Amino acid sequence: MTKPVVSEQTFFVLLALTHQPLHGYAIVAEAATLSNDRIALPVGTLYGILDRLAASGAIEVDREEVVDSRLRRYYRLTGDGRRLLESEVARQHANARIARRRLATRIRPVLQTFLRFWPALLAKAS
Amino acid sequence: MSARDSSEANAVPPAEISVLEQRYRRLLLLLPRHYRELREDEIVATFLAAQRARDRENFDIALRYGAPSWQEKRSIMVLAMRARWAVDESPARSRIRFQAAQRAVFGMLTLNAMAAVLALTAHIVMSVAPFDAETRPLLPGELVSTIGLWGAWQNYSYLAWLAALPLVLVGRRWSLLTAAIIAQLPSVTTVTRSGFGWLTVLPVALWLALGVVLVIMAMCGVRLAITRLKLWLGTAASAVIFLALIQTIAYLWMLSVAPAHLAEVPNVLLLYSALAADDTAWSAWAVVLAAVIVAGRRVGASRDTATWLAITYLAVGLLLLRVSSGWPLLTLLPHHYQLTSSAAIIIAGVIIHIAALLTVALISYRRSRRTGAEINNA
Repeated sequence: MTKPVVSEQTFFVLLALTHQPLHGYAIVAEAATLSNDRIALPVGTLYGILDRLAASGAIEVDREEVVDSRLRRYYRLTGDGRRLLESEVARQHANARIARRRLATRIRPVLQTFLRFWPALLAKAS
Repeated sequence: MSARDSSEANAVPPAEISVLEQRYRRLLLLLPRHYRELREDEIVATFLAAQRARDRENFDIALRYGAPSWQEKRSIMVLAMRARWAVDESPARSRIRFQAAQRAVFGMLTLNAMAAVLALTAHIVMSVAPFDAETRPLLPGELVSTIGLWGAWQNYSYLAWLAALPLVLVGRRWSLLTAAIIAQLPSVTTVTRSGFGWLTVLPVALWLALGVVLVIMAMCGVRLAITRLKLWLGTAASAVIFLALIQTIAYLWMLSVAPAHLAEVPNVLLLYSALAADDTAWSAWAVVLAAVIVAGRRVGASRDTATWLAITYLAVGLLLLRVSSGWPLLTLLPHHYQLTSSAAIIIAGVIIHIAALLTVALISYRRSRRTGAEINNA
């Protein structure tokens, strides 16, 4: 069975809920802050993600409040959600490690060639 | 928390409702009722909080004159589709409807792929059969040199349906969409230019509706599990059964209407392939009708219900369309072809073709019913 791959938006929603329970807009704002404003969650998308995460048991409703006569629902990360986030972090970390290693092996010969010819180039320029 | 509990929890006293909030609430009417009961106030509060954060200084003005942005509208439209069809917590009725619609669409794709096979078979048979030069269809190369690339595309675009069927099975959404566009675009342009006036409006609308259905499927992430695939075989098989029956009836009707042309075999084959190619419109009808009928009926929560609904809607749709689409048949009446010596062989071939279709469909239909029952009992 393949592990579920978490989309970037879902990843930041999970990440936003790691410290404390948050309501809808607070999740949007926290996700934007954590991603340096790269992730701008539309409200419809946010609730689609919350539905899926709640259905899979990754998050649950923490409490409900009435603010300005409107219901405000707070969500918190469950144990399953934390494990999902950790596995996603591990997956991304492994991907980054492989990519870094691969890039290094491609860059190193270029650097070596450059350093080898650098004195000659310097002499020619002077 | 059940929807009822939540709606009771949502029963908060209403605040003064601004124009912006009214517009947001109107937008949320796209969401299904059960979902609105659960989330409407919460989503509106999130919308308003986001609006306030975007432009705190002019928030009062936004409350009076603001409106949902296109991005907000689009995200709510997608959420509405997901809430109706893809969310596990949606009521059984919604899920059954979605399953029925999915199966009807799958049946439609099967019909289109089958029509493509039939048209291709007819083309190949006519290319190799000992007909005279006038009767023999043009090969692809000849077609391009005679009527150009666009014309050749119009003649062979139906082959894209052959690719669409496996693409939906493996869940390649955007490739499926591309295949559908390749297959449909020439048809739409041909129909609009055909000079049939108002008669063209309906087929064009149907083809466009088919495109919309495919887009919705793509957006909802159609991906068939193996078990579901087995269940869907029933729908596809039923589609084939009804199509073969209708084709046989149409064929016999044509012969009774024009007995003098009984021996004009190339025409019979042309007619057969033309009828097969016309299945695109039949099956589009079936999908539209299925969606309308499913939306208007109360459906139980049985897993078999979706299969039977989809089968019934496909069948009813195909029959209705057959009755209503008399005009293309009139254009296909035989003209003046010479009798050829291979008449008997080709007539036999057509009959064997139909019989083979029926047999295969019946076998797979019985098998899929058995598989469906096993899954239900599991």
